[in-house]
Amino acid sequence: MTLTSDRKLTIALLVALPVAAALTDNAFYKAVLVFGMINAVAAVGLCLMLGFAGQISLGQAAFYGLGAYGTTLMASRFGVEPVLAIAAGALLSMAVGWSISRPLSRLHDHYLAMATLAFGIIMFIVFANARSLTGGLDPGTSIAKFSIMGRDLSSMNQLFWVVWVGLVLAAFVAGNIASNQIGRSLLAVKMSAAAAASVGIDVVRAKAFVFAIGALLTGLSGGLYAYFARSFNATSFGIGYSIELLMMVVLGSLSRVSGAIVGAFIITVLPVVFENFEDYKTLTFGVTMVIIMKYMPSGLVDGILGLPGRLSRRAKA
Amino acid sequence: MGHEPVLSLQKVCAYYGNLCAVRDVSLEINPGETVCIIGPNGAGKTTLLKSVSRVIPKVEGAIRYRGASTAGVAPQALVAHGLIHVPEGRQIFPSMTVEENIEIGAFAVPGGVRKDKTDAAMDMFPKLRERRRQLAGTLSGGEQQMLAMARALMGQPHLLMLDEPSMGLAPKVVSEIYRQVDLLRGRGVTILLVEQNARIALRNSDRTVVMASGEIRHQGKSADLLAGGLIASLVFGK
Repeated sequence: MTLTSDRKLTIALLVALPVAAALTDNAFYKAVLVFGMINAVAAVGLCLMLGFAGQISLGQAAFYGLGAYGTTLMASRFGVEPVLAIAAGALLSMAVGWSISRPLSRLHDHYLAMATLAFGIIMFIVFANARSLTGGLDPGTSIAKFSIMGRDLSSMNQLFWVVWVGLVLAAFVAGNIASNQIGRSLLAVKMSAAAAASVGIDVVRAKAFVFAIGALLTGLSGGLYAYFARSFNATSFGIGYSIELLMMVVLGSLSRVSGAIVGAFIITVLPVVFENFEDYKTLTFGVTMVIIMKYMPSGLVDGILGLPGRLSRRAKA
Repeated sequence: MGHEPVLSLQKVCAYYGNLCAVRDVSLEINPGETVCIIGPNGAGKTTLLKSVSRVIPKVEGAIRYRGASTAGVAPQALVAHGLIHVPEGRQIFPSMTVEENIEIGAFAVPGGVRKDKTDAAMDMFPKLRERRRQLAGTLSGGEQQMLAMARALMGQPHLLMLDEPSMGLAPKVVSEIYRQVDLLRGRGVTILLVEQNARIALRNSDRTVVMASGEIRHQGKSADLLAGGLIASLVFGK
């Protein structure tokens, strides 16, 4: 697997983002960029779970919501410093991810997809109805401006750097896991749980670990989203978002951190591009997905990187 | 260690839900011995191996490995102590290279991968050395079985459990696999072997246990069984 060779590409993307931000003065584009990075953090989390460890989750929106609401509650009710509130939200999400991984550890593939889907639906119902905590669907909830030690950092320019740091952190965590012994054991679990057990890998623990880390990163993304949106309701954390995250990872790459980032930006930017073609948006999405699955089954990034080799082989033939 | 058996089972029963798949099995395996379990489909052979490696949860009776009870011990802890189970159906890691597959065999070994051990495993299976950079999923069935065995050797087994290494392989490949099993026996590795192919099993073991319907029907020296022609009546219940 080419997990480590991905580091350069990931770093290039992380460097390209501030450059892109510097090139535009348009506040709307900048906001799209920030939102893309927030999605990328969550996509990196799912990439670890699905791409590296083969654990599909259709309930990521729940972790995203736990992060967002956890952050909001800590900041609004307990007056916690925003950075710490985000950390608390991410940890809450991680704790929930770890605890649901135990009962889920005996499931795989479709069954795991169904169970996580159910978890996502249940959490959405909780978010929508626990109104004293979340504000439900109406009026929703809101959070104060982002600041560090009392210094207001809530302009889109400043928020860009805050979210950027979050994304760098997520990429760093994922890259490290991928290139070390733990990453090996996750890959082993993905390829064959029976074989993994036979070489002494604790399969249940490996799954719990990746669920916890995936939930942590998605929760972090939720916390950043809270400060980005500042006012939101439970609709942001429905099944739709879980599916979007899955599309980001499948589209970008199943085995690369950089792929998750690329996928996140494509899925974030496409609706903006097709803003005036609302009717064709879904059609374009669908057709793009089918084409990518047919011609680049391991994702856009791997597909494009493999293109020169494919073309030269064709030229020889 | 002297005469202490590597593995001893006393009245072991194993269940899938309420279904009893292994009933009152008692068995001892001494250091350096190769014991083979034969029997028809559904006799409980594979379940017995899984009970020993603790991958199925509902097991009753006493199982002692190198003198210590394995009750409540996690499967990966047993692997770390050299109880290595090569599951049936050639469970390899298809998208890792041959070399990576072999190296991951040392996952549970303190100190991790050692170059000399990797070399030793490849010396044993020269075909794997030729294909070290190839993805394991592209190997033939026989080569995959060899890879699974080479990987198991990386775990430094005190007891190697092989589950149907001949399954689905051409006769020529089967004899090649068993040449390797023979080599391992020569090195003094203790082996617990499960086979459906009774003839091969008898030829390649010191003792044979015949199982049917979850119970031991007979045990004895493989050579005696081979000479006596008892097998057919025991296995097929004539």
